[in-house]
Order: sequence, then C-alpha cells, then structure tokens
Amino acid sequence: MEEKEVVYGIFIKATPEKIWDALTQSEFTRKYFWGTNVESDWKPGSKIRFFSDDGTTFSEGEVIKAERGKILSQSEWMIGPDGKKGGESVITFEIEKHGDSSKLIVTHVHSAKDHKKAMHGWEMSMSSLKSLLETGEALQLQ
Amino acid sequence: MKEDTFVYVTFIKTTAEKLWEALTNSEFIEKYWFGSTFETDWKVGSKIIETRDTGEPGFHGEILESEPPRRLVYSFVVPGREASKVTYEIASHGQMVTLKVIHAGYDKDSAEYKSTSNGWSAIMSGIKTLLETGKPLDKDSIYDLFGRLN
Repeated sequence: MEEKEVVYGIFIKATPEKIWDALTQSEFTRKYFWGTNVESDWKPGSKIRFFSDDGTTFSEGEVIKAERGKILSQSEWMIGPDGKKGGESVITFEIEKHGDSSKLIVTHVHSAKDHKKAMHGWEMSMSSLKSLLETGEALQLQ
Repeated sequence: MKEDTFVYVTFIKTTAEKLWEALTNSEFIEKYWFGSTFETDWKVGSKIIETRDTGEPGFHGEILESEPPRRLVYSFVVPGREASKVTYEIASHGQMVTLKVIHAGYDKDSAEYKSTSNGWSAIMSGIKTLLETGKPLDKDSIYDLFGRLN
C-alpha cells in the first residue's frame, strides 16, 4: 500500500510541557480533537485507547516513543463496530522550545488515499489546540 | 519559475474583514513579520517593498490581485533567488475563517523550501495569535527559531 506523509508545524505560546499535557490528557483532547478521550500510561510499548464520552472505543494505538515536553510517537488503528482492526498509521509529535513559545510539528504517515483528509484534520485540530492553550477556548469545529 | 508550492492553512476565530486588515495594515504586519515594514498601497500593479527591522531590504514584488476581503496575490522577489508568487485566500466558516497561503515557485528538496515552510508557519501562527489574543507572539521566540536554523 502506498504511504504518504503529512507534516504540519505550528507555533504556540505555551511551554513544551503544557503542550505535552494537551496531547496526552482527555481534559484537553476532548476540547480540540472532536470529543476524543485518551487513555494510556504513555510509556513506550503501552496501549492507547481513544474513546468517546459514552465509553465507546473507536481507535487504539501503541506508544512508540515518549519523552514529556519533547516527543511523542504513536501508532494508531481504527476499531470498527464489529471489533475489526483497521489500517495502521504512525503519528509523531515533536516539540521544540523557543523563548516563551514552542514549535509543535506533527508528522502523520498514512495510506496515500487519506492524504487530503488527514491534512485537513491536522490543520483544524492543531489550530484549535493553539487557540485552547492561548485563549482558554478551543475552536468550534464541525 | 520552479514548480513546487508550499501550502499552509490555519483556522482563526475572527472575521474575514479583520483578517484582511491584519494582512494589509503595516502596523499589524510589523507584529508578525519579524519586525519588517511593508511599503505599498495594495493596488493591483503597485510595488510592494519589505524593509527588515535591521534596515536591510527584504523581498520586493508587485501586487497582482487584490479582492478584499478574500484574495491577495503578489510576486515575491529576493535577490539571488528565482521569483516566486504568494497567494492568500480567506474563507468564512461560521465564527471562524480559514487563511490559506500558497507560495508557488519552489524546489521541494531545496534548503530554501525548508526555511520558507518554517517562516510561513511562524507568520501564520503569529497572525492567529495576534487576532485571537490581541498580542503578538514574542519576537525573541521567533528569532530563536530562526537563529537555530541558520
């Protein structure tokens, strides 16, 4: 299967640790990532569960690399209503500190047919994450 | 002109009119374009000249299209580099707008492309912060990023 890479960089007025928390804690993710809750101990090799407010698991993943405030790399796959596992993709978040701000770079390697959708999704969710950390309010995404 | 393009999209909680103002008002521009000032009247056919905060010349070009508050296009010329073209597109989505910048005329594997993509993500992030919080991103933070690149 042909693979493609989405890379999206964004500057956020927040510390690398704050950004890390926003990537790994449900109280943040559910606000900027379409109501997604996350559960993991964020150690390499550990499972990650992505679920909605009613507890339904819609995707799972595994932590590949995790250093608070620096890097989070994870694999992720969808779980169908029948419990069937979907295609796997790898998402890496890198965080660099620059003065009182940070640069967050997300790299998403996925199947080529999803390229446009993946890019659009990151543009929206990362814009919303930035708003949440800088203004206290996420964007109203549809 | 080289064929690759750099595209960057950001979602901003503002109006198309305010975003247009941020793109074309010299006082705003200085706050997110690394302290540079732009000299132009934003009319099609007019020149656009960037002066850096050090007093050195930046890019220069010509306004090619100007349709407030939706679309702005200018040529982008830096001495020693092939000419390129910058397009801004603004679209409204409820309480938000999307700002899309398309910088055409690059070779994807070049060092220039990498510094351009870094530059645009800093500029676009700066515009968003300025419009949503009323304050620009810290200039030293942005300089820190470019200092590390060079």
